Parts: sequence; structure tokens; C-alpha cells
Amino acid sequence: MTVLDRPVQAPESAGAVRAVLALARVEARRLLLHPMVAIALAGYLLWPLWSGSWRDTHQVLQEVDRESQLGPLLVGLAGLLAANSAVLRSLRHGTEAHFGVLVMPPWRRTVAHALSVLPLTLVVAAAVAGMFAWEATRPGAVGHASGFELATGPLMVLFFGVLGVLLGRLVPSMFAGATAVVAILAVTFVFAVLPDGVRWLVPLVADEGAAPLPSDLVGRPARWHALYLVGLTVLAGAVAALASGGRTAAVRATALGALGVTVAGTVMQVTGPSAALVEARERATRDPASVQECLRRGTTTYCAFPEFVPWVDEWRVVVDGVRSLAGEPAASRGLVVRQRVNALDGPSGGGPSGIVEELPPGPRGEVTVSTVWGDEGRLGLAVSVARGMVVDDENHGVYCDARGVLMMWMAVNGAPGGRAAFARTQTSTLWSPLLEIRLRDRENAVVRALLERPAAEVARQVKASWAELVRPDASTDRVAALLGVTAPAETAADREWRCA
Amino acid sequence: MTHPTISASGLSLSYRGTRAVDEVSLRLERGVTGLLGPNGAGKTTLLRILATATPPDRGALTLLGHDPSTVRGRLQARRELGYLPQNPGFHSGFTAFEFVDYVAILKEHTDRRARHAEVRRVLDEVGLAEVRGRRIRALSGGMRQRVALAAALVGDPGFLVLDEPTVGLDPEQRMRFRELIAAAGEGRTVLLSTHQTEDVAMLCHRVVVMDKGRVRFDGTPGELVARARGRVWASPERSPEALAGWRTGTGEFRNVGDPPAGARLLEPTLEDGYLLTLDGASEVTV
Repeated sequence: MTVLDRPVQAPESAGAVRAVLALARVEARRLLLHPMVAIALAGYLLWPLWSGSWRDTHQVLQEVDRESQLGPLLVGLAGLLAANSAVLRSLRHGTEAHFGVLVMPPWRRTVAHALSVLPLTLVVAAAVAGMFAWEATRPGAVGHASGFELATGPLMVLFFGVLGVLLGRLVPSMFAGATAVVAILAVTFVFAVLPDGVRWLVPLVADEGAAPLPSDLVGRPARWHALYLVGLTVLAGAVAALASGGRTAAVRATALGALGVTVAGTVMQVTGPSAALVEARERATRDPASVQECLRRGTTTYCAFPEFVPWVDEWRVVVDGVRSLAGEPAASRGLVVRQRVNALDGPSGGGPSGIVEELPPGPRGEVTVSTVWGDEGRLGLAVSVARGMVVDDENHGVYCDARGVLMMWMAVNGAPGGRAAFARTQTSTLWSPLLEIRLRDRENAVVRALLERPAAEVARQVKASWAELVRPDASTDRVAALLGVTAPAETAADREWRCA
Repeated sequence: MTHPTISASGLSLSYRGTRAVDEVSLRLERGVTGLLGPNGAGKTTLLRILATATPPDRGALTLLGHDPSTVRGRLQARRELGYLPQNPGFHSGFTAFEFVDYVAILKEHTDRRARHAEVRRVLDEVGLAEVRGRRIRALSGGMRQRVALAAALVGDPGFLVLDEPTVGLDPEQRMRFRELIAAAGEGRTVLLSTHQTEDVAMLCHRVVVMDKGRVRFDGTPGELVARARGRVWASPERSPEALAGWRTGTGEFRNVGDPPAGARLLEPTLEDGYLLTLDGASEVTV
């Protein structure tokens, strides 16, 4: 009698399945308690608290869903290393000689290892759901999230864990896992700037370039990417089972099915935006009025993309604050505050060059408000309104005269936190919306001097001299004299600027 | 005669042209059977065949009524088999309980409560109840070996294969281990591979001696001792007729071989029988 050397394949039985589940439970507990996973999970969960982002308001939910994917990337990579280490444990510790003659064949152990990633996935899914729910219920949250975008983070964790299992079955060395982590990070950031046809092949496509778009213009193939990740995960698990001897019809069929799903997901996610979406993005960028809702408040008309209408009353506080500092006729003339985005290149904001294009200036009589709100959004709107009041021109020139001083003073006084933000611009190189008003040192010095005077008194003087202050020929010396401060002499550095 | 629990006939296995196991036939019944032989005799290979780790090139094998050449038979056999390999590995970060529990799961003991009770039972049986929550890396060599025995015993297997379980243990640990093996041999079939003839003398109702892949002796320890009767003698100097001879604590030489006429014969031991069996090169089955 000859005995064939082939892997033992247990008959499908409830006992065998229960044993796989029991092993998966044990391995799942060990995976969750693995130091790398525990540290990554703690970092992921505590980061919002540590960074203070949990206090953020006015979230745009079609951005929040996408931003939920970065933290799980970290947890997923830790899961990859931990799952890989678990698979290699019996080789590392020399227990294979013993385990090899136990009832459960190696391929079922592989399946158990793959299943053991599920609880970690569920923990991350719960965290994603919890964080999203928190942000969605914060004051000022607007927009619509995609369930598929939210699912991508947990699916990524599952995929990376199963990839760790597969690597463990293919390469009997811990270096494979570590190398895979480095490769994934490199590929994720390299592929991020590649065209749609390629970059969607990596699990995480962050698209962080542009300001938030209305949800109907985002156009990310999140549904197909989620399908792609599911297919890839099942395929990795099935190949791992095959590699460890599970050459059953069921495993082969699963591998083939998963390959089909992966290919389908790949094809669908790389097809690019539809013609209708391209047209909608064009319209929203070049003719936003055609798709916006407008509300009139006093002499100001606020036009927003429909999802952002709830912000109008908060815009109004800033607009009214800045306008109250202006003299007539600007203070009471009609003004349109229009929300504008550059949606032409989708949420990445990067065209073929990969560079995020700035929004072109809006027409006269309108000021632009962005799709970001919060402290910086308030400052940005204050800057826009001040510019609209003084020069009615959104071109970002350098105003080396009274207009520059006036715009900055109005923006600083019109937005909550404006004074502190201005003080920071004087001592730090960090970006601030106030820097959209580009001033020379000389004009900055006059603004500083004005801010030391009582605001109400300066406001009264501004209103009284408004007509003179907004004339292009009103000099810095003149504005200083009219408002009761002294302007420093023009320096050589000041003279190097090209003034508007 | 009792029905054999393990029956092997004409088992052969070659590695790179060398016959590691050569036409081995065995019938094992309940109790502890010792497997003696020098390094490279084929003991471990035979044990791996009997433990279903390696299929033979040729031969027939029945384990506890199951034919391991079939998938189903091999699986059934594995359900009733306990194996303690030579140099067993351990997951050193696991506690003793976790490791044995892990093995129990791989033996498809799926009911959590019953499995945990069984793990506690075997750890208690090998005397590790007090340290079952301690990590294996913190246990002594003897304790680790007992963890391995507990892992082999989990599920109360009908056939226990122990490959040199007492290697590396100090005398006290070895004595303790012998107790455990003797207890394990009650009501089940145990095949114990060892270099230690004392282990066989103290534990086994039957002994098999292997050399160069073949069975050289298969009988009781008494019969192996009897093979040396009249072939062990004392002399003041090492006798030239001796196959082996060494000075003892009394200052006399103890010689094993064909004694000269008039030699003062000594009572033979199992080791003497073993040495003569290996030297005899003829296959003997009693």
C-alpha cells in the first residue's frame, strides 16, 4: 500500500468550521492585543483629542468621510505586521512539526488567521462610525457623506491584515511584512499624484488638494473602490489558503470569484468621471449662479451651493461686521456674497500638472466665500468683504497706499479673532487668510499703530474720511494722518514691491 | 492476545537514496512500548510515519483502526493521536494554558467550556496546575516538556507518540516524567522513543530496538536482558574478547561479548542486551 503525500483536507463539517472560528477568535484577541496594533489603535483614537480637532465645527461631511481613511491606514499597516507575525509564529517557534499532525490542516489555520482580522476591522469600523457621528452632529456640519467612503478605512484594515497573512504563507520571513509596509507607504504617496487610471489601484486615495466640493461634484468612485478592496481581500485570503494546501473546489471557486470582483472593481473605478459630472463641475466653477440658492439679508445677497445654505446666517455676522466699519455709500450698497469653488479637477484639485489651481477672481460687485468655514473661513470672508468694500476687485495686488491699510484694518476688526490672527502674521510665517491682503512693512506698521487706538474712534474717523481713503491716490502718509497715527518712512525693501 | 491498536507491515521510507525506515513491521498494544536505537537508527522517522506526519514510501499501516493512507482515515487517526515531537517548539509568549488550549483547538475541540475543562485537566495531570497562567518563556525546561506532554495528552488520545521526551532533563525531572509517562500508558498505547535504557527498563512492557532503519529486536525487556545472559563477565583487565568493556566503581572491568572459558559471569542488564543486539546485526523478533 502506498500513502500519497498530500495535504489533509478535512471533510466539510460543522466541527471543522467551528474549530476555524474558535482559532480565529483566539488569534483575533492576540491581534488586538499585539503591541503594534494597540499602539496604532491608541494613536488613531487619541489623535483627535490630542490635536484638538474634536472641537472643530462646520464640517463638510463629503470631506469628513474621505478624511476618515488616513487613520485606518496606520492601524491597517500595524495589522499587516501583526497578522504576518502570527502566521509565522509556528515557523518561528518550531511548532510546525507538532501542529502539522493535528486535525486542523494548515490551510484552515490560514483561513482562521485571515478571519482573525475581522474584529480589528470592526473596531476600526466602530471608531470611524463614532468619529463620523460626532463630526456630523457638531454645530454647522453640512453636506452628505458616502457610506462607501466611510467603509474604505475598515476595508483597508481588513485587506492589509489578510495581505499580512498571505505574505506569511508565501515568504517565511518577517522582513516581507516590513518591506510590504514600506512599499505600501511609498506607493500610496507616489500613486497619489498619478492619473485616475493608476492611482485608484492603491487602497488609499486621499484627494486632499481642493477646497470641499458640493457632494454631487465629488465624483470619486468610492463604491467601486470598496468593491475592489473587497475583491482584493478575498483574493488574498483565497491565495493564502491555496498556498498552504487548501486546494479544494470551494477555495478555488472563491479565488476565481474574488478575481472577477477585483477586476470588475478595477475597471469601474478607473473609468474616470462621466460627461455629465464633468459638465456639472464646469457649470459650478464657471457659472455657480446657475446651481446656487440665494438668500437676501438686508442689502446683501448670499448665494451658496444648496448644501451650504445653513452657513448663510454665520456668513452674515462677518459680512455685517465688516460692512459696519465702512463709510457710505459702500456700507449700504448692494453686495453679493457668492460661494465659489474650482471643481474642474475634482476633489484632488490637481489637473494634469498635479498643481492645485487657484480660483480666478470673481466679477465686480461680488465677494467670494469658500466652502470652508470656521476661524479661518471667517477671516477669509472678512478679507473678501473688506476688499470688496474698498477696491471691489478680487485681484490680489499689493496695495501700497491707504486702501491696503484700510482693507487690513477692516478685515482684522470685522472677524472674531482677527486681532490675534494679525498679531501672528507679524511674528510667524504660518499662512493666514489675512495674508491674502498683501502689505509692505510700511503699511503693516500703520495697521499695527491703528490697532493700538480705540477701535470705535478709528471707525468713526474711517467713516468720516471714507471717500478720500478709498481713492487710489490716497497715500499711506495720508491715511496715517487722517486716522491719527504716524507712518514710518519708506524703506528700500518697501520700494522693491510692485504696487497695484 | 489483545487486538493491536497499531499495526504496521513492511513500512519503508527513503531519504535521498538512504533507507531511513526499512521494511518495518510492528504491532503495538496497550501499554508503554520503548523504541531504542542509536542516532540515525530511523526512530524519529518511524515515529513521524506513525504520527501521520510523513507518509511511508511503502507498507501498510493501521492506526486505531483507521487507514492513514486515506484522507478520512488520516483525519480520524489524528483525532485519536497524541504526539510529542523531538525538540517540541513552544509559543513562548503564550501561557501554558493558552498553548495547550491552542493545540486543543487545532485538534478541533470546539466547545469552549469543555475544551477549557480538558486543558485544565491535562495541565493538572502533568502537575502544572499551579503555573498554567505563567508564560512558557518563564518556565523551566522540565516544565516546558510537561507542557508539551499536556499538549499531546489533550483530548485523551488512544495512541501517544513520544519522541525522546526525557532528553535534557535532570535526574529528578526525568523521574517525574517517567511517572507521567507510566500514568499516560494506563489504558492507552504509548510508543516511547529514547536513548535511555533505564527509561525502557522502568516504564516499558515491551521494547523495540532499531538500527539502520530495521527492527533488530522486538520483545519484552526481560527477553532483551536474557539475550545477554552468559555474555557479561568481570575481569581485572579489559578482556580482548569483549565487544565493549569498562572499568566499574569496584576497579574491575565489566565486559560484554563472548566470554572466555572460566570467566566470572555477571547478571546482565537491559543495556547489555541492547549493546549485544546492535552488535549482533541479526534481526531478532521474539
